[in-house]
Amino acid sequence: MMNEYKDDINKIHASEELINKTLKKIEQEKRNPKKPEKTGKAKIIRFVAPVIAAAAAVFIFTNINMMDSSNLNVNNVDQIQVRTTDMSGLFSPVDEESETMTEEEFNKYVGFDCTKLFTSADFDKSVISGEKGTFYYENGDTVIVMRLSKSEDLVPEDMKELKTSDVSDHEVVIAKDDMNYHVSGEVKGVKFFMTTNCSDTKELTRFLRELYRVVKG
Amino acid sequence: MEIDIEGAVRKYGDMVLRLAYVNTKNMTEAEDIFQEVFLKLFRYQNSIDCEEHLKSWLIRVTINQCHDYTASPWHKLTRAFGESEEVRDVQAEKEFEEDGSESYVTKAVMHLPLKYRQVVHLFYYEEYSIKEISEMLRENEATIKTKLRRGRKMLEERLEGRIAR
Repeated sequence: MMNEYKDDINKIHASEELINKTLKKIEQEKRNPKKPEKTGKAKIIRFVAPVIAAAAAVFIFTNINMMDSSNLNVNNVDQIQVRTTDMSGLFSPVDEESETMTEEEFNKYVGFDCTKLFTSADFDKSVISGEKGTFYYENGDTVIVMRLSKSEDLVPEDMKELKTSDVSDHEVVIAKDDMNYHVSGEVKGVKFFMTTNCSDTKELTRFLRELYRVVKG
Repeated sequence: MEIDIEGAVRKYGDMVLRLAYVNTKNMTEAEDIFQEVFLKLFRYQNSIDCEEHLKSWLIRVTINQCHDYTASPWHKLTRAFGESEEVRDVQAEKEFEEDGSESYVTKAVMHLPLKYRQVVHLFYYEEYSIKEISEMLRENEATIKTKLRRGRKMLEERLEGRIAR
């Protein structure tokens, strides 16, 4: 009986288009291999570097602490429960009654370009369902999922009970579970709920500052 | 080992795509994973020493890529909207259900939880032994046996005793 399974799976083939696209990417990487970390001038700075680095480290550490921890409350949570009605439509059923906007229509609806929210992360794809849009960005291994809507019910209930923080003069709620940071807030009258696997609050605040800077122009 | 990358893409492309699809149940994601796997092959080709190693390396990297995909915030966020254990592309699954070309067995396999589906696929489709699967997945043989037994049991229940073996 497992032969039926084999027969069905055998019907799946990598298309010529997919193969060519992959080979093209490999060819591109062949032409532009990732550059190794710069090691030049290592000898010259070998003796001076530790002294400068130590001084710089003290200065930077002090300043980062002042910058980042002054107004930041990171709420540690087990999990942020998103309501099942907030379905994106990609991995969950789309409400067939709701009208789906194009990216362009959604941008007009919110009043800014949701495909250019960050300067240091590249837009990859989006899913728009009803009045809610989910936009996916990447920066190396870091991914950012931004959900935006003018609708009040975008932000999960769990986020509403948590302590707020202040980033670039905007009130946000930051939560952290075992893998990701979650941030809820508002920009130009539009609610957002962001999830990212970024490494620390420094990177997180950088993304948030970018968001506010880009959207406000 | 000198690897002919294009030859490898053509020879093992179907295998990688099928495994990625069985893992993700989403052809778009499977195609993304396909590209990532072969880019990794290009980057790490020097670590492969023989043809058999190449095949098992591709399987392991494909499974790891699928894990990365299921652990991504994108997947975690969308999963939170309705799925408790693993990705279920309901849209794709709906189409899959409606498409009468797949057998009951295939539908039953695709309904298995990922950890069982993966082992069932490698055992029945790729025809790897339990020992080989355990090496590929870096889990001990007893765990693989248990997963296979549970997967089979779930298939039997779903197919009401119509399963092989």
